[in-house]
Amino acid sequence: MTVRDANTALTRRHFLLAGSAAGALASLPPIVRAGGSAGRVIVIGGGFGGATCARYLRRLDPALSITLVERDPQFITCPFSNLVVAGRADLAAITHSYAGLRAAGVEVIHANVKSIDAEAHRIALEDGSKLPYDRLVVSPGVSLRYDATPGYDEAAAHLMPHAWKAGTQTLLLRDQLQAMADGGVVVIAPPANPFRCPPGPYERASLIAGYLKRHKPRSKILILDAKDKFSKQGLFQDGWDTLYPGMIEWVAGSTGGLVERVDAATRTLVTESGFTEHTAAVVNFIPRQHAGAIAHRADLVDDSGWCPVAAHNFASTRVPDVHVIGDAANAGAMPKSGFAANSQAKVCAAAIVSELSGRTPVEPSFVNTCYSLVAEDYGISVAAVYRAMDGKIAAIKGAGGVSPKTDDAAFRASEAAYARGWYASMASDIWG
Amino acid sequence: MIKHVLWTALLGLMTCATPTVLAEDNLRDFVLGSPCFNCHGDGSPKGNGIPAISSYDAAGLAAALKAFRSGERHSTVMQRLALGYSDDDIEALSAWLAGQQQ
Repeated sequence: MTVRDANTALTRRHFLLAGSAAGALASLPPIVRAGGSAGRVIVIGGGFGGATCARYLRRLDPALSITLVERDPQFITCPFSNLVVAGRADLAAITHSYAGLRAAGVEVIHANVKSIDAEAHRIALEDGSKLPYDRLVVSPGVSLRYDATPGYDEAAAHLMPHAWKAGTQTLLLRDQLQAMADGGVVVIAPPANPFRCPPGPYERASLIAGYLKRHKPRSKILILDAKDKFSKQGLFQDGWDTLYPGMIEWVAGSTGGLVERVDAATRTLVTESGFTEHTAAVVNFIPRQHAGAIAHRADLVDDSGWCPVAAHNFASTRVPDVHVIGDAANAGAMPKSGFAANSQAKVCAAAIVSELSGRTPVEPSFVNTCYSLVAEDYGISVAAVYRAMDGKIAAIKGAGGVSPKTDDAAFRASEAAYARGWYASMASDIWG
Repeated sequence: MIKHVLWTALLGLMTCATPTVLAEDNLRDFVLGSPCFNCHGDGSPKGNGIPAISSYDAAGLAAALKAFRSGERHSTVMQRLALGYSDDDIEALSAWLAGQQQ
């Protein structure tokens, strides 16, 4: 697309906006910039959801003013962080700067958001500055619940890393595994649903098993699960039998897997009303989760701990002119995944563009494709296509599902290669 | 080590994408077609090891998606995804994707 084309599109856009901008002027005096359109959108959170939304708002309507407010100077992805845990990738490989978004015309501010004043249509940053908006997109991801399991608080996370937010926690878990003696037991304790990245704990078990098989072959992994079943379960368990026989034991929640309390100092987990205590060399305790903190402060959260939204545009059902996307949203049948957040962000961006210009609402369509590595050359996937049906996001019947059961190593190797391609393309789509 | 070099190369490539100004009247096609970018790239020649959208014109994309959907063409994940789209969806998103090529 040439510069001339861009200018043509801009001119046509101003023409189309002429009618609606006049109406917007009356109610939104501080927001209309001289020579610009009536649209100012702020996005809170620069992860898979927020960064995608900011980028595509900008692409869909270059006349909009888009500001992304993100706490951290760089984003470290949870996807592929299990390769870092297993010592097979550097943190640098999963770290992305915001230079690409800036180059695309998004204003990026690194700050903590203190509060959202929905009535005045503005947010306050921790330094006291205030930013006005026409529409606000909140994509804060998850907060870990340090109140859900007795003994597991922020201090405990330094001894029993959750590694469920990528960065120093990822490296802590990696370093503990590398320091462990051969013959040690590694406990992974996944939470009850819903939580970020449903197949993540089991991919982690797989890749840690790969590390142990190479370096500490007498060691074992014990998965103490809060649940009785998990994502891609049959595929994971087939892979474990093939690749890591006898190394991974999974205990379902109802048969003794549910961890009731922990003692971080001794790396002990208590199950079955105190009848069983597990002490391990390394403990990866993944706590229960709810929507990110700003969503709670802004009253976007209901009793479920997540943010209810309208299926067609991800507008909050609690606070007007605020949209919530990604892991923090209750998105019906969609899982809390990076791909899902990206797909929701695109629908949300299209909806905001059409609504701000007074156009017909766009019928949504969503996709999720999640790859997991059982080994570096053994990939499996789950996919689905979603629509809004009766006001709820539902998977289209007859489509989607998990990889087939097969002994075909080439098929698994293809999916492992596609997992890497997915990561590279996805990162490019969002932060590139 | 080789993997790290590959990663670095891939991450380097990611910074090269140029933004496209989308037409005004195709938000529905955008919603249908843009999730394809997540694996296949955004229309630039690189597919990151996954077939690139730029290898196809609109008719070729639609034919490929229908062949995946019917199972006539072997796939890993594409049949599962293509089954979620009608003929009309496939024609629309294929035309839109073909128009995004850089």
